[in-house]
Amino acid sequence: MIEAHRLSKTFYAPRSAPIEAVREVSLSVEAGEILGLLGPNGAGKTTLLRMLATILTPTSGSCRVCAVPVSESPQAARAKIGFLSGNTRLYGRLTPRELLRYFGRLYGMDRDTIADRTEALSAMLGMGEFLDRRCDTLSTGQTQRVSIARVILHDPPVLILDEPTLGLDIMSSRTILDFIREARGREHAIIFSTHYMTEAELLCDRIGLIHEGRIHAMDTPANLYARTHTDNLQDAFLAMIGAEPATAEAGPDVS
Amino acid sequence: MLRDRRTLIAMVAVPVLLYPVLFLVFSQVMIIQHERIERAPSKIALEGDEGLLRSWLEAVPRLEIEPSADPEEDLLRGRVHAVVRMEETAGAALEAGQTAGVTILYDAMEQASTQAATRIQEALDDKHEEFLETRVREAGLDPAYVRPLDIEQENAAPAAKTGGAILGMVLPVIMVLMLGVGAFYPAVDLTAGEKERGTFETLLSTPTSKLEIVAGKFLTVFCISLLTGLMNLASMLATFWIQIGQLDEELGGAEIHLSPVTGLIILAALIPLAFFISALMMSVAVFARSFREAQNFVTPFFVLITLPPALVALPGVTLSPGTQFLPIANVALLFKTLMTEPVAGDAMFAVFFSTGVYALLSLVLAAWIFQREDVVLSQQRGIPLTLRRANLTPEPTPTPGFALFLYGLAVLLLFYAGTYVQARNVFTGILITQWVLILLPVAFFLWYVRVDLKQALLLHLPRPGDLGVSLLITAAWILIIIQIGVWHEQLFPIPEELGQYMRSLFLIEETGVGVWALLFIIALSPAICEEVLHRGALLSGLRRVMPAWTAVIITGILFGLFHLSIHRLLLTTLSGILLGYLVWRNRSLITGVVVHFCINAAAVLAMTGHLPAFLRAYVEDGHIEEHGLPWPVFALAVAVFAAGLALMEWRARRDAGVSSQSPETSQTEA
Repeated sequence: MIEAHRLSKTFYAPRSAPIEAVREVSLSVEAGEILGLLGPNGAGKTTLLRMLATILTPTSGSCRVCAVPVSESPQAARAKIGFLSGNTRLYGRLTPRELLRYFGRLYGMDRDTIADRTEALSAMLGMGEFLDRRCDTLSTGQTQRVSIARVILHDPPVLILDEPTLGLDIMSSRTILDFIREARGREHAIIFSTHYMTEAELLCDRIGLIHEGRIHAMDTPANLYARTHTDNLQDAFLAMIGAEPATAEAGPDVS
Repeated sequence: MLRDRRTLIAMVAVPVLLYPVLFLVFSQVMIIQHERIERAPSKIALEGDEGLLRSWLEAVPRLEIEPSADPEEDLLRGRVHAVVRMEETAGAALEAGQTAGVTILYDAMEQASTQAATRIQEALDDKHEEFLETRVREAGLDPAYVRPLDIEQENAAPAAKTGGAILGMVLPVIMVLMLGVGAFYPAVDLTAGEKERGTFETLLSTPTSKLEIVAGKFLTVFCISLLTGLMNLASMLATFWIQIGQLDEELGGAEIHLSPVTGLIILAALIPLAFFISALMMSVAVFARSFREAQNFVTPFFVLITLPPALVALPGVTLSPGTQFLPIANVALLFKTLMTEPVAGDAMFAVFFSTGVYALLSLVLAAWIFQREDVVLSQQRGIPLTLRRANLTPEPTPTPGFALFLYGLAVLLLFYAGTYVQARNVFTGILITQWVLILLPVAFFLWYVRVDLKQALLLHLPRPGDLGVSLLITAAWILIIIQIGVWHEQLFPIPEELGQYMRSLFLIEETGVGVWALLFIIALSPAICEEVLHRGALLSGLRRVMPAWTAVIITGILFGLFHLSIHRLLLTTLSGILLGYLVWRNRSLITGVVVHFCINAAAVLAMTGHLPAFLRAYVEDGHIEEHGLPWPVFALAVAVFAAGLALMEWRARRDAGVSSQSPETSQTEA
């Protein structure tokens, strides 16, 4: 569902050296699979996900979403993607129903479909009581549910989630994590980034350890422990980034 | 946006309430103050020959004589408003037919005192007249004898002009300010606000193009800005209309007469102005990362946009060739001028066209900035924009935005440098304009953004057959355009000034420029330089986003506008469309250069009398200028023109058929 081949992104800024945020990253995610990207701040997680979500143009390399080449037809690719970032808030002056209508129109859905879908999502996520209140009056948990509804409104086969639980309390994170798990059950391909180790351990089928723009290892949690002779992700991560990148690149799951 | 209270207040509440309240308070305070001073009696004290003065002034209304021991002291302490002093000997002097001195002491810093002095002056003037008349009569003279001049001042300005002048000073500043106020909040909210909320990347992840997003945002800002402007205009005019009647008597008459045409022109001028201000404000605001930062960025911008209209409100600043291209100032001047007198067609055209160009440039700038992911998604401090050539991606043709930028740049250079150098010396001016101001920047920028020059400018030779058909069409077109020119002249006569300027170009004997030099200056140079800009950069850029026909027509219109004269707009636009069509069908800019040269050269040869003998006699007797071509000639020209177009289309269709069968051959051909 998601295939990336040697993706790189270099940022040019005036009066400073170019920054290689992502270097030659290749990965793939299948339907019904959750890939977690784990890495410290500034590792390149956000840049990588933004490239997959077509928001940034790669400096080199290519990627395909549902077999659609992203660089050539970004708009077609976007229609297949649901993108959520942890620091995304909503339009405060709209109600959730209006917000969903607005985004539905942007996704090219007709009014009836949007209305039906809104009802369905409202029932699924329990948004009935605040569907017609302005978004700036909603609690964090309610806001998260509206955000999720916005992401899956057009029923995308691919979900790209950039630190979706960033800064949330336990209850709100729980909503998101349940949603991710549930989406896997419905055969979505999910890639998400986080720097919470436990979250990744609990959810992910495979984990990519990313540091300084490179993927140092990508494997199931169990295999990662075995390779690094550790019993938790934190130690595994530290062991990996201390290791030679060459061994990581030769890892079995880097496609 | 309409749910936002700040937008609504700026758009509706402020204009609806501001002017009536301002005007009401201002005028009422003025009237009350005025009346209070008018009605209050002036207290005065007398000094010297009190008896005589009292007999003169006692009966004067609103003068009260106060007893005073020390009149000057009383004046300084404000116990009396003025003091009249006359020598004790005054009575005797008057009897003897001599002059008696009278002094009025008052405090010029006190309005009541000035008022008192005026009243005394008026009363004494009357007394003076009385004495004068008696003495003249006693001397047996005619009173007219001592009054050789009878001088009066009268305000000859019609009431409408006074009203217009007042409005003309206030309106531009307020309009520009209010367009800015209207644009401010939405511009900031839809750019920096989206960044702050983190909704920008959500928006970018929807299947819409960045151009659609920027267009949507821009239209919102533009509409709110324009609506705010209109609300202000309506409220301001209504207030003036209703309230100015009240001031009428007090201030000596002022009325507002706005003809519907003037009103429409003002409305029409608001559109490009709102366009310009909105796009510029958005371009500035998008660099900010937060609402607060955007406010800091945009606030200085307010000063910049309100300064020009404030300056042109000064008396003596008029709409002239020097001021008609200045951004914002020109619209302000247009408003100001329209309030008191009509404005000439070419000046109006210059204002609208230049404002349109500024609007276009600022929109292109906004669209370009929005497509820079480094700006839109940046969380860095400062302005995250790098323009190094090495970081740019090579492109086969310029983007439409960049093509429009080049056009706008050329027009700006034409406005400022072009008109200046041509005013100093026509011929070197034209050469500088064409080669330095048009060709050089266009070629440089195309190179800088790494456009494939050969492909963008269609720098290949046309096929001989295509060129032949093009020349046939051109020959017919030259005749057709002569006839259209005659009709055009009959409907809209060219002003004498412009006609003289055009003719002066071709007076070989007087200018000392030979016909070959003229052909180079007026025919070849524009043929090369203008073609590179219009049929090269502009056409190839526009064709990326629209069908060829639309691009050809838009390029033609922009080419027509480029000549900066409303009187030549139609003819140059039509020729521009034809040039675009031929270049498109020939897939070669060389055709454009050749055809452009032919059209201009025909004009040069005809005007300088270098035509074949049989034609010359015919042209020179002025028959064509008055009556146009003989109709069989015109009909023949139209027929040849139509046949040429048909042939060109047929060739193009045939080639398209061939190329769809074997794409490789057509590519080598192209």
